[in-house]
Amino acid sequence: MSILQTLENSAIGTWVAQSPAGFYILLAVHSTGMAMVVGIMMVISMRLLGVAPKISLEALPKLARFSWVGFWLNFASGVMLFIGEASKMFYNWSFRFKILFVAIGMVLTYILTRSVLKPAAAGNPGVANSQSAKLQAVLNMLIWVAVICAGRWIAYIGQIEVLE
Amino acid sequence: MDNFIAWMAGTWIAHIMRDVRFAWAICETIHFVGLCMLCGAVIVMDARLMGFFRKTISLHAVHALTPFAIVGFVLNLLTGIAFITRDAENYVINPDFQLKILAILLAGLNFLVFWFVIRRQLDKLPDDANTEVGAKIVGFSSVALWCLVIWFGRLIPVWGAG
Repeated sequence: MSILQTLENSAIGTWVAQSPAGFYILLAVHSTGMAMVVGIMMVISMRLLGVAPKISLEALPKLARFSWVGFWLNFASGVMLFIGEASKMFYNWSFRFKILFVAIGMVLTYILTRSVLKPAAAGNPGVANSQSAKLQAVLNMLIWVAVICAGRWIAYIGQIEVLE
Repeated sequence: MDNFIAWMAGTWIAHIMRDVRFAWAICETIHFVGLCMLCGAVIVMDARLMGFFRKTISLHAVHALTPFAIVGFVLNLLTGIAFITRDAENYVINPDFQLKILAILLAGLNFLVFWFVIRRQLDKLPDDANTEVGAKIVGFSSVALWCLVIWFGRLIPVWGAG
């Protein structure tokens, strides 16, 4: 038996796949986490691009930390959803791209926090006005929107037919 | 009601949603992005309304995020109407859809309470002020109702529509 089938046959896998409540509760949690991660990253990015300039720069690392709460919520619910449909998801290019985009998003968010949000909050506001900060803000928004696109399109394109 | 449903099913929007490949998927993607814009701004504004981030986010400045939330809401209103035109007869009888619309209406009502009552109380307060219990309740209800909107929305396919 492959590792994917082992996952699907585990207690979590069967709960997610067979209990309608389990599956839809996880989807609802996953959507809420998405709103936190992408929504708050958008607010941070828009602030760096000049929207709502009176929101202080000290708030931004705190908001970023808050958006990570949504991230780990989605990591947990996402792993469980994957276990329930492991062989379908593993052989789906939209899903593979989604995971790639999530990894890039994590790295970009980490770099943004380290190189812009924290120095700007620690009394170096010039960092937040640099071209690099604005470019990073745009890239951050784009990558998290790309995660949403790839995730939504799992249902429509990229499924690989695997011969049993 | 039946006439209205039939009329919607005949509009050009419904034809595009039915006949153009991926029209539905594209609208869903936009709906999710709009959801993030709306809820991201709402979370930050309501967190401050509940008294969080007092030292770093001005009670008054935070409302500069309102246009961002409105853009997200309008994106979702337009794509939401597009979904309904294609499949109206299944949407109107869908309990999760009905609950979602109810939650949106309550969130709208809650916003009116904020706009006409709470906002006036805030005007007198300094930027770093804590808020009174009424403001906290309105902020909490707003976050809770938008969460319900997301949850009921995500559950619509359980009942066949969408």
